[in-house]
Amino acid sequence: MGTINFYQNATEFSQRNYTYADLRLDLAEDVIVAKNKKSKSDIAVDYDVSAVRNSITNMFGTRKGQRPLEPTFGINLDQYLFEPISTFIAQQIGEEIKSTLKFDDRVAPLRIDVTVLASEDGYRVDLLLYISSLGVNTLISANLSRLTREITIL
Amino acid sequence: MNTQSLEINKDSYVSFDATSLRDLIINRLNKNAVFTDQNYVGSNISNIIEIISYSFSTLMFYLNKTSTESMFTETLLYENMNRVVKMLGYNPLGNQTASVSFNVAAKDLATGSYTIPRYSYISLGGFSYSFCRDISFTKTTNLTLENIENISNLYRLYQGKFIEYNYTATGSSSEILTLNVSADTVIDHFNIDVYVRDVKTKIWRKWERVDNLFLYNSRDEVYEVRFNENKKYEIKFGDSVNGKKLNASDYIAIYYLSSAGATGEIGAAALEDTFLSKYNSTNYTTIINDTNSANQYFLKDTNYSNLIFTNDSASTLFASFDTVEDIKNKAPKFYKSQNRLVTSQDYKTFIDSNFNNILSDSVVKSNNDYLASYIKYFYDIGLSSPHLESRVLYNQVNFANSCNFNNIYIFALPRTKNRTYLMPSQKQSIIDTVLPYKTPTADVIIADPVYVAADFAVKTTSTPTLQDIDNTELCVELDVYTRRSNESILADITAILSSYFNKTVFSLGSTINIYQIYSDILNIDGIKRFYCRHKITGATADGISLMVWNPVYNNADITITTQNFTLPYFKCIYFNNIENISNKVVFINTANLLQNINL
Repeated sequence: MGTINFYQNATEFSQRNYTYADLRLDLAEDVIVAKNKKSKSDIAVDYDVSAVRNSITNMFGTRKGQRPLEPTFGINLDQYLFEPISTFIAQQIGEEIKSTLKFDDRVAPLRIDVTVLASEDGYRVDLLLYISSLGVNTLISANLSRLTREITIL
Repeated sequence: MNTQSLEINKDSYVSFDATSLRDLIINRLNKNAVFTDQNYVGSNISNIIEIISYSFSTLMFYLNKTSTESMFTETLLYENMNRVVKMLGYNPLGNQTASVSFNVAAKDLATGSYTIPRYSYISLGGFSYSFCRDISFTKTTNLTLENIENISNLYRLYQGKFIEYNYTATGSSSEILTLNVSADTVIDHFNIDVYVRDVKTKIWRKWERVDNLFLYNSRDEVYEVRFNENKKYEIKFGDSVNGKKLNASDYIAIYYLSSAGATGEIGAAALEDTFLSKYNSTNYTTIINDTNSANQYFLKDTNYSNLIFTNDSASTLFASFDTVEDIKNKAPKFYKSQNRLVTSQDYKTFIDSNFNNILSDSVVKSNNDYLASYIKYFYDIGLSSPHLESRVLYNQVNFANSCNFNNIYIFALPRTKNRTYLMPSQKQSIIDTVLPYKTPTADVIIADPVYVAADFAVKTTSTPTLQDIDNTELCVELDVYTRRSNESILADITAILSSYFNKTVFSLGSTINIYQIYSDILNIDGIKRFYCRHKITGATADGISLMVWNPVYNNADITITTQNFTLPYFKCIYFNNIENISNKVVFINTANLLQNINL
């Protein structure tokens, strides 16, 4: 039976100085400095706050049912884009975002501001999150546009 | 270097689905401790793991499906089934056109011998009926109108018109040509003739269609026909080891019968007032002249209109090509028989495969079974000499020899909408086809089924009579709340009886499930209950009470039953006079119990 060395990198990163690590979605190449080793090229990785932001960003970009193995994951914000632009709908969007954040227990929402952008026919979402394990806050902003029917992470 | 073996067995990949593979990858990554976010569903790495897992699962599904489709017992696709049974040497049946027996009379034709050339056809209402071989007859008298006895009801006309298809041989071994015809062209499975014009002799010769080239020597002018996986016909020639090989530039003319399908079926007397037409195509005249070795005197162009055709019986029904289920059923039996007819099952498989277009059912019995059940039946109903019974005697005289102990009896039910027997031409055709494959000491006799009728009747005396049918009515109590019309409910009842008894395709020795019919009628929307009632005595039987009788011997073979029953193998049942069933049904509106509505 053939063997696969799964643990080579684990040894190199055993003294890691990060809490969270995630792949960078563009699968770019990056230089990684391993302990007691020379620098080498490998796939780019997002650490800590960037990794958490990936997760929250993906949440905005995924509709419920879109992922076959996680059908409840995601948020259907585009359904609100066909409703009249109003503060009432803005409040509903805020509630929806709040309930969706349960998928990532690393973050706790400090503020969720959904602002009506009447001139741009949409909403702006500002999400202030506290990452308890890192002890830092991070702000994620997004625009929901009824004209383009897109959710743009700023 | 720290290494670790995979914790899964070599064959474990088959047990993974998308979820378990995802969990395994996450588990491995957790042990690795490089990445952490595989545990958070929103992360990028989690997305990529899911894509890999789901793709794997989808690919495994198709791998399993493909593997399953290569198994004879599992395959569901026609293409695959056709390929699988090719290894068994089984050629699935293609479409089989309707055919009809005919009577012919010659009017104003001089005495002498004539031959109707093959492929001549009769046009009627947008489609044709054709002769598939040369038919010779003799006009013996000077009468203005003479019935030609020696071919009437002995040959058959096949629905469709022959089309010529040309091909030039490449001269390769085991050359295969595929009839590339349009998708909507329906070719009759049994009427594909091949003529070859040898490049050296420049003479057309008719080659013989065989089941398997393997059984023939290097000089035999033979070919195989196969209905392939694409539902096209392949014609395979020999390699000069088994069957003669084609020379390069040999010219091939294939004549296939192009059928109109089910629309080409005709009723009795449809051939009246029609005339025979001469067939023509690019190479037809040359082929006819080259292959007329017997120097037959073909009809002149002016004689075609001297022949007057009629048909006493309706055509057989068009039969569609073998389905996957048909092939699953027939192929193992065919393989078992090895193209030889020894056991009763061999005979049945062979006959069902080759005469699917004219038979809806068949039963094969030995001499002992025939005597112990069929002949005994006639004794039981009071005949002192069963061998003189009309159908028995008819078949005995026409098809049996003087030695009776070695007969194979084939009870054959024709594929028609009418309750008829096989025509002599059809019987002879079966006997002729079986001949090369059967053991020499067994003689095949085609026996006719015994038709029995069924109708509603209530038993009032120990000996039922046909009067009981006329005196019995089917009383249907309607639901108080139903808004359906009586006509609509009657149509449903008729449909149930029709689908159960008067099917397009009858069968022999069937089991009549009276409880099922009772249940089906009771399930009709608007019916509360129903029963059979004798109009004179007032006797009733809840549900269905059926009289079953042999219309030929209605005093001897007659019974009334309310139970399920199975007919003997030689009997075929139909419902009596189902077209007029409305005369027998009485609707009772329970809201107005006193008001009976007679349709």
